[in-house]
Amino acid sequence: MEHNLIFEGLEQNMDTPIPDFAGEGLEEFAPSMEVQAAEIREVFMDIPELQFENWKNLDVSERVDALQQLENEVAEIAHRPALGIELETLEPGVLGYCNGDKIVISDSLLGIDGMYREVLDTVFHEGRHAYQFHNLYGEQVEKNEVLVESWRDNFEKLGYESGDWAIFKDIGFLRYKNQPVEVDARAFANVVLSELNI
Amino acid sequence: MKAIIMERLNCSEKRAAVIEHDLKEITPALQPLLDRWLRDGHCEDATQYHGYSLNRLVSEMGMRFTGALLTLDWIIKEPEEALKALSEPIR
Repeated sequence: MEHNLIFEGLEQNMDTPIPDFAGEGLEEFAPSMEVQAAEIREVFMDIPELQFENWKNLDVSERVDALQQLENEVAEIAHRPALGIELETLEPGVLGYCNGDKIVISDSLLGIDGMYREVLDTVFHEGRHAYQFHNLYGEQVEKNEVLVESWRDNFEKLGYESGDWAIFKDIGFLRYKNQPVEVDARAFANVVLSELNI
Repeated sequence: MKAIIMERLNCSEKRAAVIEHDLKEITPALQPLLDRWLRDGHCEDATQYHGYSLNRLVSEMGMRFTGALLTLDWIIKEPEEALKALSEPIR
């Protein structure tokens, strides 16, 4: 079944060779997904509150503070501005979203010890959306031009500029899950969680 | 169809074009539902496919008609993949 009739072939482009730059200004680009994950692991291990044995003893407010500290570090690694982490009551099954201005996590998610991995998955996933927003509307720090263009095409074709993030309600689950921005965000979170061995 | 989608969903022309593209590919079993919605905006149906109906997708997941119909279409065409996706959280 054709899943990506409009974004056909873009999933393959995530492995497209990066353009051969002259070498100057490379420091302005964010590291690769895998390098980011390794650097995130280093900072994660330096935040005691994020280790599960401590996490389970934190109240919700303390957990938000710990996640904000993590977001600040992840943002610096990704060469993007850090966004504030906020809690909201979201619909059943919705764990979070990023609208380019903030990262929102379901308040019910944060109160459950057993959802530790889901919480981190959500923070990394939404943080990757923040990275996509920054590359499209701030400054391009992602070296892979094809990848960035896939995000731009995704955002423009599906009308994200209006700030409406819950587009699965209009376009259905299949197209929502297969969007380049969602495929990329899931891939990033999985790489980081794998690096953290969580 | 695109104009109706834009009006009913209050969405951009670009998004409506994407939705129209997908709706034109839906399975014949769901065509009567789409025809009726286009005609008079009716969007209720309790017919279940692998445990999901239009009504359930709208009431439990807050989906609008087009999203619910397209999701139902996926459930009919690729039930294993669709049901797995529906069991996962949305981020």
